[in-house]
Amino acid sequence: MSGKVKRERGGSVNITLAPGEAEVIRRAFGDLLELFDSHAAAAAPAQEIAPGLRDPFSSPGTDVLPDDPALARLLPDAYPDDPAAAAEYRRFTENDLMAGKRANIAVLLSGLETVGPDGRLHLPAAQVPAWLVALNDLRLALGTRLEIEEDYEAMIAALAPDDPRLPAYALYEWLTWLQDSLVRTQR
Amino acid sequence: MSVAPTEVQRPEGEELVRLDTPWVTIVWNDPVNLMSYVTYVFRAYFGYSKEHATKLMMDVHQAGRAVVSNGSREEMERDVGAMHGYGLWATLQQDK
Repeated sequence: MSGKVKRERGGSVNITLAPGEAEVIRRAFGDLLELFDSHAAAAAPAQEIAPGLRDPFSSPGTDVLPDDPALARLLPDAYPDDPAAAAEYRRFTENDLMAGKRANIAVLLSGLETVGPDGRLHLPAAQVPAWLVALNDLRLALGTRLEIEEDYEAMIAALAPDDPRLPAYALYEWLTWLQDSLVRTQR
Repeated sequence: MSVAPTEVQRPEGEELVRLDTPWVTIVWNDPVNLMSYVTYVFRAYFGYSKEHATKLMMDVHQAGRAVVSNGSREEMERDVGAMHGYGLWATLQQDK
């Protein structure tokens, strides 16, 4: 994959995507949103205080670190040595944390809708932070799945040319390049 | 209103004057987050200078972790929540 990222006057950014890249990004974020959906569905529903009436003050969030490693990385424990405090913190914050991540992804996906036929995309300065965070969350999820380590470049170089994991590593590297290029437009 | 005593004994030791033991927010190293992005987050959220943000990022990178802010427990819970929002791996604990 290729592409171009260029800062414009006023802090807005022009991105040029190669054909197909917008679709690849869209699909990858679709997977991430599904992961969030699966976690929200697993959360215990609010308690009923009367038949059919859910307690509006009880939090519907979960209180344990997700089993899925990618979700666990995106929604980590705040208290490493205090399970009770970690559970309480999670109960009160996890839904908002996921909602914030979804909101960033929504900004990115709606921006992707404006890609012109020439692959050009104009990103207003106000949308750059949401793009940066959304790209980072996607890289965290993908990087966890791919078991990325500090020296992953050497590991990729050592893979056989027909290794089935190669496309996912290529996507990860491309997202890394895009995020790094975008962050460097911010001073 | 009250009248101040004419003679006071000065408190001895740190414990008496520091009623609230401060809490700290710690950011941990991980292999995915980019150095450029971590520096960006420290500048954008904490308002740290480029130099200070870069130094903290290098601390995280080289030592595996760094204290990035300190304050009350509530403040640190807010900072940790913000770091999680940015995708940084952060925890809080009482400063020892």
